[in-house]
Amino acid sequence: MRPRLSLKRFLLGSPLRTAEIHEQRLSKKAALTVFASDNLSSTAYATEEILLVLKLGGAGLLSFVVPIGASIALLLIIVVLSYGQLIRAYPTGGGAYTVAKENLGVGAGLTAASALLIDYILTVAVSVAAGIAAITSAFPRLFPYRPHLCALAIAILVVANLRGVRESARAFALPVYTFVACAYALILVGLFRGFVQGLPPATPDVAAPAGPLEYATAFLLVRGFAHGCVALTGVEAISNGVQAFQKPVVRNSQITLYVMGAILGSMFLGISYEAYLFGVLPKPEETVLSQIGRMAFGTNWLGTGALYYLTQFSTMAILVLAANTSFAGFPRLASILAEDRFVPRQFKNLGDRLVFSNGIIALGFVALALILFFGGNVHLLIPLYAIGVFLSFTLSQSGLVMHWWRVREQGWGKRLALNALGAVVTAAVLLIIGWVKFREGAWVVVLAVPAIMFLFWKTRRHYFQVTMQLSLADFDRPRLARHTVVVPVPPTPNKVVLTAVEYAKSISKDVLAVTVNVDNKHPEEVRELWKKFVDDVPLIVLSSPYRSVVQTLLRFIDEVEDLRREDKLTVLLPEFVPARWWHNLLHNQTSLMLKGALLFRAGIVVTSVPHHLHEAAQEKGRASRNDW
Amino acid sequence: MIGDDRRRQIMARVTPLLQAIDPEVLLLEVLLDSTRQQLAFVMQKGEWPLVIGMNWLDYVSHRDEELQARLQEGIAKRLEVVQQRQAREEEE
Repeated sequence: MRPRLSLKRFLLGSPLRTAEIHEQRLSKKAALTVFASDNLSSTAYATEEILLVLKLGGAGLLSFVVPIGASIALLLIIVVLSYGQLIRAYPTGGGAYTVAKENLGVGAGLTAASALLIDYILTVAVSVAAGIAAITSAFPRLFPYRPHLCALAIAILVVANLRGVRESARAFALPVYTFVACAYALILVGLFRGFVQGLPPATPDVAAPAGPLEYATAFLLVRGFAHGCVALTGVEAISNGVQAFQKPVVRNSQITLYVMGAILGSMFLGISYEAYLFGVLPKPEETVLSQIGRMAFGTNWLGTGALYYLTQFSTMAILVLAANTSFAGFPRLASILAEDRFVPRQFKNLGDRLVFSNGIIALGFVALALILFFGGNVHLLIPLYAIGVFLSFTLSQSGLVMHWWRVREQGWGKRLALNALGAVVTAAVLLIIGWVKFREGAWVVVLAVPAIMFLFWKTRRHYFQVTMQLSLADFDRPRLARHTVVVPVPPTPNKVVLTAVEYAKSISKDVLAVTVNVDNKHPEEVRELWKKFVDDVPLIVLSSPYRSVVQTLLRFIDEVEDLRREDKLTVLLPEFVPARWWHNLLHNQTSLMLKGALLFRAGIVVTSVPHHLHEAAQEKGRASRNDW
Repeated sequence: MIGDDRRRQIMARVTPLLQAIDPEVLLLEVLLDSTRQQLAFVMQKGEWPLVIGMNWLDYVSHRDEELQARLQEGIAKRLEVVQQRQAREEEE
């Protein structure tokens, strides 16, 4: 017989043994694709976000894209170096949550965790939406299908991540490195065309606003800076996933972090400079990167234009893969929180492929909901973004300051100074972002962070209460004086019923069967039939003028429970299990309804005695006629 | 389990007493537990099953008037509970 390949196995592959977890560790090159795609991909939209703001101040302000870009690059250096310290101090990973919790207290840790969880979700939503925007820029006919394409991209990411860490890294390596190569080619060709060939810059068609501008100009510059800070999102991902690296984990993850910072900084500065060089402006239907690409490479398929399309596809790919950073980070953070019982413990279960499957699936669903809510529009999602990242930056850097102060190992002074600088700078940026973006949508995050923290505490409180109630500390062994079993049965006995009655007799001497006579048969007739098959268990024949079987049975069970208060009461349900799932639709499901109704009754034990039907038996008409 | 003859005897004794108490209350079954000390009268009034327990020795030692008084008291208590349950069901 040919083995059946289930859809799950086909999509996700065979299960891995727990012992194989160490074989799933990542090399530096592979880790760069898993953890850096979010960070690197932000170059696809960070410059555009700055220009969108500067455009409001007229053509004169557009040249500020370069100094703003440079100041963000400087900020990047500080943050990257600070996170290098974090990896050194916390080689077991955990990132901002662990650092803040251990050094600043649980409240600070949970603030960082909720901010990070929000940002992981937003990273998926923003990156996927921006990736699809890259494709709709090159192929405008696809523009109306943005939400559908986003949903497809998320589904692919979920499946790739459920297959496992190493396989997702293998699948994502080509697009990530292609994007980096294309971006550098774009910058070099653009610079060559700009300086050597003297390509004329496009004239920005922006009207200068009338009136006094000094205050407005300063505000726009600050706002442009705040919007451009999205470039820094994803820096923290490596510090959260240190344990996914091959040994030596600290050195490998630090090197990967510094390489990532260098690539990001150079690409971001290069693209920002070319946007200025070519006088590019954001358009609703085409991204800034796409416009620079058209000017640098042209659009003829057979010439350098092929590079333009390759850039667009690789941009789409890396933006979609940027979401992959969150698929690596979110489930890990959720598993750490689950370990501390702040989120449901299902998040710490490793799936068949040694990944935190529940975290991956949950992230996919929430991000998809967000994208569908905002119709896949990147600019509506961006204002929510970055505030959570900078909040976690600030908390983790502040925590590290406390850490170095406490441990005072060799060279602690330098490290403390670096992290203090990181804390001050990121706190300042956090305030700027909060101030500038508050009315644009950052207020949602400001409300969401405490709301999620509240849920963390409620979850932990629940687990604490459960632990206390299940504790053996004050356990008095229950004394079971007697045990009464009630077996609800159909008016006509059958194999299922008799099996259940025999089982009931094996667990108690006090067994009584009960039925509801909805067919208006004479009760004595029902009783006589019962006695033919069961002569040692009494049958109570209840009537129900309104044919409500379940309610009448429940009322009877209540009466028995009241009568035998000292006893343990078991309701034993005879059930047959059809050969096919859809056969269930052909039966009354009385047992199921009783089970559901009795589930929340304290003190009543509900037991099923299943009887499995076979297809062949059903075909021969030997199966029970009863719909019980 | 109680024997058929004994069951018939008990039902024949109790049914007219119940009729006198409340004609709507029907006696459905008489049960004896495994210790053979506790009797239970399973009755029904309309949609509501009622179960009243009684010590076997009490049952055999009571005269009919005493038994009727006990049953009346038991039924009144159960109907009180039924009223509470009915109110709860209506609320739900």
